[in-house]
Amino acid sequence: MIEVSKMGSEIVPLLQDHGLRCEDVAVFAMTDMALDGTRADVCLVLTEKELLVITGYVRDEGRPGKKHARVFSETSCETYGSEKLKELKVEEYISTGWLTATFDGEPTELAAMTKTSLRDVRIFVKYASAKLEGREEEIDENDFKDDRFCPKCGRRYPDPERKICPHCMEKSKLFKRLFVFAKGYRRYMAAILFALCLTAALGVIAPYVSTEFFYDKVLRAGNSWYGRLLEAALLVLLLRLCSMGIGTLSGIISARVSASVTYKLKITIFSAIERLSMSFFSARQTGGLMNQINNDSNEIYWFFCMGAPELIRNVIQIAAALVIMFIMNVPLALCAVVVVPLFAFVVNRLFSRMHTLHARSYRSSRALNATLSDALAGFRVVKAFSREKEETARFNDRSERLARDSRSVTVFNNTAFPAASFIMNLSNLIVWSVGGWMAVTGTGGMTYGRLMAFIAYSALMNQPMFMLVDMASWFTACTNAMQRLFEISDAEPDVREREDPVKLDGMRGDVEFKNVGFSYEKGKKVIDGVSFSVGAGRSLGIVGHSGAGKSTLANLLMRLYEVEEGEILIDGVNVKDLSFDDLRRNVGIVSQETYLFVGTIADNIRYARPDATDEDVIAASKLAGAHDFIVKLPDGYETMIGFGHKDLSGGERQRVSIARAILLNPKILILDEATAAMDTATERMISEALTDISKDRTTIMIAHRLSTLRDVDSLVVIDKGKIVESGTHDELIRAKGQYFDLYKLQLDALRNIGITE
Amino acid sequence: MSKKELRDVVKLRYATPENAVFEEKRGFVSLTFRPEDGEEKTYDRVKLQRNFPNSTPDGYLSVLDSEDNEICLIRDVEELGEETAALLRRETARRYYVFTIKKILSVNQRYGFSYWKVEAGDGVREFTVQDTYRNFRKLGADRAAVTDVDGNRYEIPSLSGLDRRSMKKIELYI
Ligand SMILES: Nc1ncnc2c1ncn2[C@@H]1O[C@H](COP(=O)(O)OP(=O)(O)OP(=O)(O)O)[C@@H](O)[C@H]1O
Ligand SMILES: [Mg+2]
Repeated sequence: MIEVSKMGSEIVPLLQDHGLRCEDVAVFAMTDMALDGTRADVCLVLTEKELLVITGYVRDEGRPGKKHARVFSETSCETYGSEKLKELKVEEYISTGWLTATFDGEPTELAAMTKTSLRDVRIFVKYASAKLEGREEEIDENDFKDDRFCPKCGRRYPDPERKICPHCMEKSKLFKRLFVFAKGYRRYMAAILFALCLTAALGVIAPYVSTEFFYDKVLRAGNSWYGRLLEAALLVLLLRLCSMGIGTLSGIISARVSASVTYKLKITIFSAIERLSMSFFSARQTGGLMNQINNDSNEIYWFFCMGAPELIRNVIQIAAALVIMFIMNVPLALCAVVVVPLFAFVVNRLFSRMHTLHARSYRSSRALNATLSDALAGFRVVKAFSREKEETARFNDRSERLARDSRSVTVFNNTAFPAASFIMNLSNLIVWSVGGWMAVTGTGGMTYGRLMAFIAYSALMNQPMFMLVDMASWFTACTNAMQRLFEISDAEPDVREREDPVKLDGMRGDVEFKNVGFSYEKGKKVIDGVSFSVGAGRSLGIVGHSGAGKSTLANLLMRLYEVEEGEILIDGVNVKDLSFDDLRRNVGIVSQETYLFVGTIADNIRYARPDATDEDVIAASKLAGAHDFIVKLPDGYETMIGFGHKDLSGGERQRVSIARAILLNPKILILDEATAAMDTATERMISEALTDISKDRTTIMIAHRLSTLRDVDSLVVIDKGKIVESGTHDELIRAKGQYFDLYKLQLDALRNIGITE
Repeated sequence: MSKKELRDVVKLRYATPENAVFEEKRGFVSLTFRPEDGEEKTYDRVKLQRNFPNSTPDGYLSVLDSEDNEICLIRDVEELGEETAALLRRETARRYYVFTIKKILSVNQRYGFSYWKVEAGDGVREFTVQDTYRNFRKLGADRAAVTDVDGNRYEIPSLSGLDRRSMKKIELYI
């Protein structure tokens, strides 16, 4: 039995009710919605003879003492005979999916599901279809590895791509890992810690000297310090200076250490990124990724540079202040702390509100920036459609929103925090009045100076409260950032070089696709059973509709993605076994989206082979038909191109890309619509040049314009991920299939304007 | 590659009570359609696709055949008579079914993710949202929707109609 969804204990009796044993079931899955769109539990049961769709719901029959008292109460059951059931299919809508089929020649709806069950039903369809068609489908273990749930707490992973459960994350581990980066700085860290203790101690002594000592010893007759004002003042000054000096010193050290730790961290992350495969990036949007890494490391930097030392110092100081206060006067100390919980509670609420406001104003400012860069990047379109006024209005709207949100932050800061301070003053008030009464009546040996000292200590305790309460969210943000960073450095690349890769010295360039299957998203086959081969030095053209999967084939050959079924062989060696070095050096691509980096044209061409001489660069550009336009530029090969510099035309960019690929001088060259943006004459010229050099090179050309493919040795036509036709141009014309239709269409178009071949 | 005539691609064909008959057949909608320049044809099963699902759910429906080629457009279901309109509405409502949020019981933020517990049309539902800012989307002035990790969409039909406590929980995302 293929058990796609977990079969609960309640299912076995249900099957028995239908006269089935577990062994009779071929494929089993469950969905969570009835055909009428209501919530339900639905079993899909495929047996040798028929498909049962049993609708009902699972109830917990809570009998005390018995654990698994789950019961399936059935409301309806439909049965479909296997021999009449064909074309199982899942149709996907916004929040729901529908399992449909043709039954007895007519379209039929079998079951419904929410997107939550979609995955299971897709897998069900895969195996059930094979069963119905009498095919043997290979069991793919991944289909049954339901790793959407945290194994520890059973909660859903919030991000299917990241197997991290926020509830079970171990924070201490994160910090331990971070300290590995701080290895060489142990002594500095000890110094920082020592300095922090020292400043805390000085901070605790200072109030004593400036209050009790001053009032009760220096100002009161009969003490050894009586009247020694200057010395007392100097003592206070010395204390302050010491504390300031030590504080500054430790600040400098901790800034240094944090900076180099985050630097090391960043280096680790960026080098990890280079190893990662395409699918990692497409799941995460690369642009945001770099930004995120920077923000996250800054977050960590500030936490360790400012947050952690402050935390340590304050905790020591508060603890010391508390101890001293309790030693000085227990009842009064109790009075001072009584308000603390209330205060912490209020401040906590205030901060959460403040974070909301901050987040909102941050979002408005991002929206404003987005609008601005949108309008600037698209200024041609804006001008062409004369939408300047509307763009300005949009901008005004956004900036007004930002102003409003910033205002509410300011207003909040200016009202809420005084309110919080009021509570703090309340605590002072209590201490003042109780302590004042004690001093006046002389209860518990209270003196005026001692009261002043006491008040100073309670201030010492209260001051950092604001910060401490906020520390929790700061801490969370920091662990969050660390988690994300480590996750990147830990990510296992899914396209990985084998341990002992095959080295191909002198690659010939035989390419063979054997029954290749691939999908970007599970269940949606983009490439399905594609087989073809190109001999070394030969050329192959690939044609097909937009979205047919042509570029995907190129990606697979480059091993940017891993094939799921079948294999791709180069010189008889599976690309999975080839060393990356050999693969990258011998397979070159001019991709559909030309990408030019910021830099000179020469740098861009030299990208694949930095050691190429200027002569090589010129030779490659000549072949690519780029030389002519480059020499006309005032700065020639040293013209800066890329974002923010000279704009090249679409065709010019393509020619630079082609030159880049030619310079690499690969054994296998893939041209994906590489000449689509050029006029036919230029294309012709380049194509001839390429043919000239492609005698000992395997060339794979993807093109919509059939004239581009005039000189290729053979052609494949692909449609919806499958090869529908293949052969030479003449064979395909004779076959009068899709290629012929396409050819005729393009020829007609030429005839219409008076060109005949 | 199926052959398509240019005029099939560029011409707008509208369904009218005269040229189109929609019927229910085995739970699906079937269509008999006679284009002005062609022959009458019956499609056992057509799909209805909203062109503007947010702003005009009952207007501009694409009627697609089993290969997803557009047979015709419906400008407004009302134009086709009450009975047909009801059929088409029922069909699209089912296809475009989304969960409705009546009340928000809790939203817990944790490390950038959020765990939601809401009262939906059919009882309490719990779901997890990844990158909440991106997956919470306003649809027009007063509607909003949030999409969970599986891709299920939960819609708030009227933000102003939401109670104050619920509103407070999602304020941050609006
Ligand atoms: N990174 C991706 N993630 C998910 N789906 C993708 C991705 N890249 C392409 N697709 C989908 O895969 C299918 C095939 O895409 P592909 O780029 O191979 O088409 P193509 O034949 O090169 O089309 P064109 O002629 O327009 O370049 C398309 O439906 C596309 O939407
Ligand atoms: Mg492409």
